[in-house]
Amino acid sequence: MTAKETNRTVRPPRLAQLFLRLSLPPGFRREAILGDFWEDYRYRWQSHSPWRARTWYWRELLAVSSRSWGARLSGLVRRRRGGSAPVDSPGKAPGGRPPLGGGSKISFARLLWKTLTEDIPYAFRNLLRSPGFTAVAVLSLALGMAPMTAIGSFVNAGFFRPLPHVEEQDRLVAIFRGVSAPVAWLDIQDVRQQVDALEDAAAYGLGLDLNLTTEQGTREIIGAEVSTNYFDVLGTPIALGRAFTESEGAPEAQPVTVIGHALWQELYAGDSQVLGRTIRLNGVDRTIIGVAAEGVLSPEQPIEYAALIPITQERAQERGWRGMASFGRLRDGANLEQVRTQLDVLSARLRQEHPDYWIDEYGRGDQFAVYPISALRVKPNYRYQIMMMVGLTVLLGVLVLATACSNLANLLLARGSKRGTEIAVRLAMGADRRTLVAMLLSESVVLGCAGGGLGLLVTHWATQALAAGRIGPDYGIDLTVDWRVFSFTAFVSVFTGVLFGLIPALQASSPDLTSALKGERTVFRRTRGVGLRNLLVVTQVAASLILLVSAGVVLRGLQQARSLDLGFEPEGVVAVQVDLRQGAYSADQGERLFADLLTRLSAAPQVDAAGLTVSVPFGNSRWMANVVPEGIERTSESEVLTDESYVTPEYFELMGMPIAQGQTFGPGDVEGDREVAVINETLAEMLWPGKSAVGKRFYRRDRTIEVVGVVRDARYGPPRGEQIRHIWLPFGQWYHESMFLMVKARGDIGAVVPIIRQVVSELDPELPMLEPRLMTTVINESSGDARIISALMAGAGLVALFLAVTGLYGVVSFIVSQRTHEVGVRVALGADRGKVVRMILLQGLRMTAVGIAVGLLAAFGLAHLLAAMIAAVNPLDPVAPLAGAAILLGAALLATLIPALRASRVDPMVALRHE
Amino acid sequence: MTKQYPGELEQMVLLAALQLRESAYAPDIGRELEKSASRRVSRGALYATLDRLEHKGFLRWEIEAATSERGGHRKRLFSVTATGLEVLKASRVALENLWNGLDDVFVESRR
Repeated sequence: MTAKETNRTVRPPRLAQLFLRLSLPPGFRREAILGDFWEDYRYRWQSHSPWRARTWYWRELLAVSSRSWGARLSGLVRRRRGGSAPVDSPGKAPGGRPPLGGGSKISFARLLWKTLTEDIPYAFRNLLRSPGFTAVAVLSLALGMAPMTAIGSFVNAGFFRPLPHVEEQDRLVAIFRGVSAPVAWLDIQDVRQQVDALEDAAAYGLGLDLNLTTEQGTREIIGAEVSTNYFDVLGTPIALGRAFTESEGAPEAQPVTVIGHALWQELYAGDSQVLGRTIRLNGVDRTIIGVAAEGVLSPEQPIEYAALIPITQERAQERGWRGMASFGRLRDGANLEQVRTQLDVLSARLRQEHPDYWIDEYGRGDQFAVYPISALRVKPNYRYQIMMMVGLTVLLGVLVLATACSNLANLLLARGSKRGTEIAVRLAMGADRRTLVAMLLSESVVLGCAGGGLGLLVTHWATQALAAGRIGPDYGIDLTVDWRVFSFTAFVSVFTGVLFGLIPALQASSPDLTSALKGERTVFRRTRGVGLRNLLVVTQVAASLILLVSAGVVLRGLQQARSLDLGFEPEGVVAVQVDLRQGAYSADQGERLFADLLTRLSAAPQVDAAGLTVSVPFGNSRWMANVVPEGIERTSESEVLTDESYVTPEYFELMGMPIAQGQTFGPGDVEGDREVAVINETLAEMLWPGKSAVGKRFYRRDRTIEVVGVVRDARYGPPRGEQIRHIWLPFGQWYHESMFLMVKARGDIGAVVPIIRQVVSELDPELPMLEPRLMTTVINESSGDARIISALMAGAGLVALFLAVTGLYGVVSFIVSQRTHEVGVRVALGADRGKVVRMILLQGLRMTAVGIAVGLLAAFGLAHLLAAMIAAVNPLDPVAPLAGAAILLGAALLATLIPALRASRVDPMVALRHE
Repeated sequence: MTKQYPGELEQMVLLAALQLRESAYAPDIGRELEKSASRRVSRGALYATLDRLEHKGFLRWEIEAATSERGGHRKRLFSVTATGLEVLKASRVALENLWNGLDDVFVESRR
């Protein structure tokens, strides 16, 4: 499990325990066995290793549960036959098949009863009798099912799992401004007073992480600034101490905090005497007044907060400072519609009372919006993108599952033809066809469920490893398998079982009775069911090709994007965010601090140059502004939306962005009255086509700004399908409290990071500083999403390829075995062996070719879809489809060649002896 | 009338339970078998044997209080019943009878 698992908390995997519990009949015996397992698990965990303990648990659990299930099922069957339930020898399930023929039509209820009590136990025993087949089937199904269950548990964790510790979650609503914009705390105060359909409303700050200072230094933790009624409105309990009081939200109040459960365990080892102690957060000593219950999450992300502090900042008292997300609790009996109506009334009033904030420069009024609480997790305006993402992953899952299903269907078809005699006997004795189909389907559903169960286990382990590795041990996303994931998997399993079992079952239950009973083999006649098998192989080949090609297309896109000219030089540049928002810095003090930082850093011998910028190219945030050229009336049509940034003069040279015309702003510009800007070529061409932009002026909100220079176009982020417009304004004329310090190294880049740390801590030891990052890393990580998508696709594609190749091999082998007799005759009559090989090869390759054709067409369509999501993707790129097709063709050739060669070695004497 | 003797594993389990005296819990019985008889028994087989012995009346168990080491689950303490002791004795007698006078055979073969 995770690293936080210390001796104190060693406990067997929950899923395994549940499984064991389910396998045993309730009572003292079960409890004692569960306890025995627990004890031994701990013993092994301590004396061997966690891994050994876990494998031991699962292995022994399977040994116990398989006996137990076997005993129960055969008990069920015996009871129905009037026998007594076996107690003395639970390990030995008796033979006993369902009655052979029996009556003509039976009612549906009886059929269902018969399926549950006879067919399913029979299927169990039958499958256990051919362990090789069963193992292959279950494994390939588990492979196919794992992506589906993984998607299921991620989607569940992200969207459906209810927030823990939230009382009556359906009474919570999310409150936004506009579509889904954040709100100001003062607006929410009005909501609390004037909207009586809401019991109360709370707010929390967006994007404010906290810096925790301990003896080991300062680090960042996930925290939030919340209104004092936060816990009341959510209805979440406090594990220790108390929640905030109303007075603790006043600016002059004593600083307090409620810490998270995990942080409490980590820093204080769960000491109950922690209340009243102080903890240093963002440079302020805060008294701990409470510990939140374990797993108290933000209503937005499934992540546990490490600490919560009340909103006390002065700017929370400004209507213009809109940095809050808000949610409210419906009064008993009230509904969303009532809240909406009352909020509309309030919006109208606010537009009248505070036009500065509630009416924009074009006279458009703002208003509140209210949604069910889940809107905080999936913002209404992102819903489309998220649906696309989920849809795409589901598509991946379906494709892999489809290949696995085709494989299974093929295996069952082959098995069905081997069992032809048994089925023919049943039919000859008068068995109803429905009964037979039910019997055969039971087998595939049992297989489906076994595969699903194994897939769920694999997913469970994989997602846990993933969550632990990526998000850290303490604040992980909760991906544990709950009833939703479980029932989703159960549904997919049964559905899959029916899907891959139905065709073989239908086919097997209508054999040609006379020839099957006589055990005849077909000579020079097309084998029954080969057409169907071909279709299944075609599906597999197509599905795996779609996945491989899509992965390739995304990868190629990324590669090409990387090889494009950036337009600036990221090598040797380190970026680090310096955030004064939580400190007690005024704008003047802040500017002085930033200036000191730059002076000291530039003086260091390891540093070539140092500058500031408010946003980093390829970074997470993008600053935007609307501008209009001077002399043109400002309307929503004439405005040009552009990226913007506040930078110091050194920035351009430091980043290697060459000036095309004019100059960058100098020190004089920063202090002078003249408002200046540098713009890029694209914006210059857009605002003043065909003319020189230097000396021209434009409006930005209420300020008129002169262009002093034009820089060459560069790329400022991942490709978005258009050339980005950009303006740069001088830091000094424009101030922001959180800036990126950009440092260009002279020589070794590794030597710069300690210098930065040292200079920063000299100026203010508690200055919040994030991890310094290389610009090249920032650029690489900006394509993270696309890379994950392509990795997922490639993984899925490889699984599908493996399944398709084994499927093809199986089918061709089967065909060869069916045609042994025919080949024998051919060879006896003088056909040469090369011809035989060619004949078989062609038959296999024909299927592959059709599959490749279908797959290429579908992949072409999917590539267009991907291009819409990831701008780097070029859907017409020929390399990926060609490579994918070549890989598949090669693999298929190999898979066919082996059985074909086997066919050519057929000895006519052996093949014909049975005649 | 033919006499019925417990099977080999059954005998071993009964003896192991007796060896452990006051601490015959299932996992300890498993460990005892491993230690004294070098016989690794899967949990499935062990519980099945315990159930069978109980069904035959050779073994019984009582519930003991839970400890935190077992996640709050209670324990089963096994003890061999009088019938159990009887069949063990009977089987020992039978085996000893069968061994009687065979010493020379084993001495022979050792040489």
